[in-house]
Amino acid sequence: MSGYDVVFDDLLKASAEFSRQGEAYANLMPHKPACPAGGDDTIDKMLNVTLQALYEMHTVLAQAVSAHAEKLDYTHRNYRKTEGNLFDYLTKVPPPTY
Amino acid sequence: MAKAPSSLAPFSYNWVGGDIRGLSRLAGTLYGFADQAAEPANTLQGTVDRLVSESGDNAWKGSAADNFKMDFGQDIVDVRWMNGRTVAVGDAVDGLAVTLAKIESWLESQAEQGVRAGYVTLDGAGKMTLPKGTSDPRVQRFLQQFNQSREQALIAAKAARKVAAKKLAAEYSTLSNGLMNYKTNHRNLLSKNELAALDSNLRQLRQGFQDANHLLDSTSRPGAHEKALLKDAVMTATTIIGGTAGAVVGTFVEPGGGTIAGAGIGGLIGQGAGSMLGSIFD
Repeated sequence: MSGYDVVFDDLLKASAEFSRQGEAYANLMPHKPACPAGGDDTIDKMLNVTLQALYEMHTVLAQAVSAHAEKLDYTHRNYRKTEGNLFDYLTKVPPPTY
Repeated sequence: MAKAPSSLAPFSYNWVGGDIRGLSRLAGTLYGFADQAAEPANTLQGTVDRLVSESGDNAWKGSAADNFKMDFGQDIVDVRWMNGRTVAVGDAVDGLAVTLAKIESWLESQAEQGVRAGYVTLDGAGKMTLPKGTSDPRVQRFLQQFNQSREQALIAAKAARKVAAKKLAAEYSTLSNGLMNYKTNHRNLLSKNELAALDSNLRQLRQGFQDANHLLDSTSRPGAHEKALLKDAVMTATTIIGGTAGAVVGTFVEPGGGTIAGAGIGGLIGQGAGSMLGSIFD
């Protein structure tokens, strides 16, 4: 059982770390960077849409990191549940009839 | 340590247009972002390695762990790729700021010649006045030359903006492909609401890019006047590089051998006339 405990703990720690880092990454660019005037409409529009795409990509990556935190947590919960089920089965199963 | 934006040639006014210092600051912001984003990626890489890989008997093992490592490994690659894109956008913006500053600085130095000769004065905002009027033929000659310089500077600035816009367009396309990749191949990492937002934002981005790209395409058609000025600009730059323009040469040549002709009016000679201004007028 001790081996499982360590893995469970590691999964939890990793989930927390992912959650922290996902948030930290998201906070690095909380909104689209301000777009200074480039001097004509062409550069202004191109810079604006490129910064918007940059921000969108950043947001999606932050969401992906956070999704991994949830997946780790889900994995942890499932492993716990499975272990609990096994324990229940082993302790509650009726004794042999022979 | 974050990459720093390039230093700008000195300038005081805003004759060629654009928030040059603001562009330089934006480049610095983007470089800073890329630098800071390296830390979460490295931390998570360490976390995954500790959890999944060779950390001993107690490590999480099995197909789920392998899949997780592969999945997140791709995330790390993507975050680092994103940092590369951020630096590339920063470089395009930084390059534009540097070039516009050189052009502005050069144009202001042209005006300074008139100030030193007493033909014109400049106030704090860069507004030019003529204390002696325009009856003196030397003043007229100076104004004519300055106006020509100004027009050439504006052409050069326009060319620099086009070069930057093209670089940004390429970066936009790369980022757009990255977003599409997440939309189609990594859907399981996004919630329903996040996917809906991504869909909506992609549509807006596409429309925004089409608008910008349409303008970029339309700048490829110069008028006859611009063509004539381009010819003058080439002649001017050639003369300057050839050293026959006398005192003017000094105003162009910068420490380290760079020239305003190379970066601004030129691109024409120093950095390849064909690739910069030429690309506008083809």
